[in-house]
Order: sequence, then structure tokens, then C-alpha cells
Amino acid sequence: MAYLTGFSGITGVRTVIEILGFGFFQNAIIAGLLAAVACGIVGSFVVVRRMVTTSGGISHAAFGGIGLGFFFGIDPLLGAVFFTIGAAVLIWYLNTRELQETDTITGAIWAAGMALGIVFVALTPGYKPDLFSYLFGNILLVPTSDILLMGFLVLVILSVVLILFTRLVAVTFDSEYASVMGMPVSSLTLILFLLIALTVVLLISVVGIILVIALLTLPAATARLFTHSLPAMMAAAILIGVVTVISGIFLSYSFDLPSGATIILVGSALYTGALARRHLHSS
Amino acid sequence: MTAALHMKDVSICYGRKVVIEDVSWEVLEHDFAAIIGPNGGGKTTLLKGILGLLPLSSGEITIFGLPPGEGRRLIGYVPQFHTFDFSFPITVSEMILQSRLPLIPGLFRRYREEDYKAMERALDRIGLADAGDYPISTLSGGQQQRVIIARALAGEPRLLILDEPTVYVDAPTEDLFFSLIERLREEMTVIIVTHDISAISGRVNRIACLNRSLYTHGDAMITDDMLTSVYGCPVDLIAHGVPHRVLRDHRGEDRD
Repeated sequence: MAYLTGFSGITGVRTVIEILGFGFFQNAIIAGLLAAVACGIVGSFVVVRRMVTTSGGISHAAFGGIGLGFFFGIDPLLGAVFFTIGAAVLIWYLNTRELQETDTITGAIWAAGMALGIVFVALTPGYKPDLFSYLFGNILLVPTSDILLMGFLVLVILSVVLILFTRLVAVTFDSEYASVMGMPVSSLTLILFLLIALTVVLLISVVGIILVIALLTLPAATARLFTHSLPAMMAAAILIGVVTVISGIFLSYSFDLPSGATIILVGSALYTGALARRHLHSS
Repeated sequence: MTAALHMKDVSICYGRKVVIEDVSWEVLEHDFAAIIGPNGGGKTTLLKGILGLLPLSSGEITIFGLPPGEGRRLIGYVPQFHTFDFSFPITVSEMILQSRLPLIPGLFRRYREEDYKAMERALDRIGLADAGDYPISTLSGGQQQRVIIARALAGEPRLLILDEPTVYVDAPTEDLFFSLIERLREEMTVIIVTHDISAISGRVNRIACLNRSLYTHGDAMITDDMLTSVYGCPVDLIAHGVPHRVLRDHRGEDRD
């Protein structure tokens, strides 16, 4: 029960400093911060453009890549990168060709990705890996190699958004008008989908495939309740993401709870609180 | 004088379906023109052709003598009101600035001093000079409609095209809207596209009816024949601008 006293007085401060000294804990904090930045920026686009289901399809397709990674003995997260990018391109392609309803396509890719992952893992000889941490995340087990990959992905996401910001906002707000102005709406939409694909990979280590959509949307949705422009919304979403992930990590460590689920519950609580507060203020 | 909009024998097909057939029409500079026609009559398709978003199957369209792809930057386009998500977190000035994007060079496309000036001028013209920092969600319906027009104006167009501008707008807002258009017409050519005949101002000086083909008659006259051929049945008519000027009774019988 020693960890329960971690939140009172001098012992508490010392406990926090002690656990910060652990390498795995530092990795967890860095992974959490990187994830918060990515989901604050990309999650804001997802929320305002209503791409939550698309994001769900892309994230579940990642499971196929993780299975593939195990099968070929490469980093499962790298396998996930290929699969989320593939899913993003596929959804975008079928979508722009108007061959099928987006909803139907997304559902199919969602399920097929999961199924592929299970088949690949079943075909992998010998040791059966622990799939639980990929499905539900375990931020306390993020290896340094994954931190490097995550850092690189955040760098890519930040650069793309920085260069294309005004154009991405125009396409997200009113794509019809953007095409009237002669903007490459289809390419910009693909870039948005690819940004989601990269963010999903980042979030898998933190909260796992099943909970990715929640972390992608909760901080942004909370930020939206009290901001009135996209840059402000993104900044607020990053801040809320940081608070969510960091307090989730500490809570999960202190009370020995699964980290991914704890982070999502903190995010849900913040969102519910913000909704309630707005409701009270408006009535 | 070069026509603001010139169309000669324009046809547009989707696959084998002919949506626009042999349309020829000219709108001169400083005209206030209207294209009316029933839903499904090809208005949106013709608009896309004019804006260069759809290839023509045959014929020619020019905007101030330029082909649609190039002429597009001279057009201020005001889309249908209901296609907007006004809960989007964006301020009035940010929304209006977007029409400046095609004019900005460079990799980053950040708004420049002159873009902000054009945005402020546009806000001033619609009478909302102080509203730049408001989130669009806080505006009234009539204000939102004017902001959509301001967005088109900030691109400094010579031709303003409004798609169904009066749908979902109440009568006082509509009057305000037409007085705004009246002022704008002194500086540019205006074309209104609508299915709502009553939305046409009495000050329109050029009218065409569109239902696959284009029917024109004189300058600003709508005749029973035009309406019957376009809508496929006689239509009762109250003109806007002159209150309750009921056009003469239709004959109530088939044309042939």
C-alpha cells in the first residue's frame, strides 16, 4: 500500500521524484508528451471535419500490420505504419472515386485489418506474443526504439501541418469552396488522412488500437467547447492531452491500473466536466 | 466590350446523360443577371462548367475573355447557404481571408498585409466592420449570409455569382440582401442562380430560364411560355421588388 501514500506530503514528493528516476517512467512521460502533441493537432482536424469513424478504420487496420510485424520478425510498430498508411490511401481512393459509401468502406477496412492481424499472429511459429498491450496499450513498457520512431513521426506531422496550415483549414472548413478556388482538395484530403495514419501509430503505444479514437478525439473535443479558432483549439487540445496522459500515467502507476484505460478515463472525465460546465453556464 | 460571361453552344454530359444542351448566353459587364430553373434542371452543372470544375462536352465558355480555369480568379463565388457548418471554430476574419489563398505565392501561404486589408474592406462593405474577431457561430443567419458574400468580395472579383442566395432566409433579411447586391452591382457584374422565381429582384436586367436548355426572352422578361417550357407547367408568379406585382394570369393550358 506504500504507493497510496504517494499523494500526501513530503513522502509524496519523494515518491514522485523516485519514480521519475526510473528509465521506463521517463520513456512513458516522453511518449505521452509526443502523443499529446500529435493528437492535439491532428485530433482537432478529425473532430471539426468529422473524421472519427475514418480514424477508427485506420487504427484498427493497424492490427494487421502488427500481426505482420510478428510474422516477419520486424518491429510491429513499423508494420503498423505500413498498414495505417495503406488503409488511409485505400479509404481516400474509394472515397474520392465515390465507388462506395465512406461508412461501408471504413467498416470493411476496420474488420479486415483486425482479421488479418489475428491470422498473421496465428501463423507466427513458436512464441505467441502478448497482443493485449497492442490492443489496449502499455505506456510503461514503451522501448527507447519506439520513442525514436514516435519523435520522428511527430516531427513529420508538425512540419506538414506548419507548411500546409492555411490550406488544410480551408479544405476542412469548406472543401467545395476550396475546389472552386482551384485548390487541390483531393490531395489535401489525402494528406489529412495520412496525418491521421501517422498519429494512430503514435497513439498505439500509449493507449492501444482499441482506444486510439478516444485519445485522438477527447482532448480536441474538450478544447472545442471553449475555443473559437483552430489554432487556439489545437493549443488547448495539446495542453489537455498533456494533462490527460501525464495524470493517467501517475494514476495507473499509483493504483496499479492498466495505463491505456486509465488515460482514457481521465480524458473522458475532463470532457464530461467541460460539457457539464458549459451546460450550467448556458442555462 | 468583352462580355463578363460568354457561353456559346455549351453542352455538358455526365456519361451518356446530357445535362446541359446547346446553351448560348451572354452577360455584359455591370449586368444584374438571373438564371432560374427547377431543381434538377442543370443549374449546379452549368455553374461548375462556368467555374471550370467540369469539362464541357462541347461549346465554349469565357469569363472576361478567359477560359474558365483562368477566369475563375475573376469570379467571386457565393455558395448555397445551407452547405455550411457554422459551428466550425473559425472567426469571421479567418473565414473571409480564405478567398485570398489562391493569390498568395510561396510554400507556406501565410496571409500578408494586403490580404488583411482586402478582408477589412470586404467586411466594411457588408456593414460588419467590427465583427472580424467574432466566431462565425455567434452571428445571426442574415449576418452569416453577408459574411459568405464578404468572403467572395475579399478576392476582389469582377463577377459575383450567387447560388440560391435566398433559400432559408426570411423576408427582412432578403430585403437587406438585395439592397447589398444593389450597391455591389455598381462595381461588378452579378449573376444570381436560383429555383425560386420570387427571389428575383425587379432590378434584374437579364433573365434566362434553364432546364437542360436555356430559354431567354428579351432582356428582363419572364413570360408564361418561358416558364411553361422550363417548369413543364404554368406557374403563378409574384415578382420581388415591386410588392405584390402579380404577373398576368397564365393561360392554364398546354403549349402545344
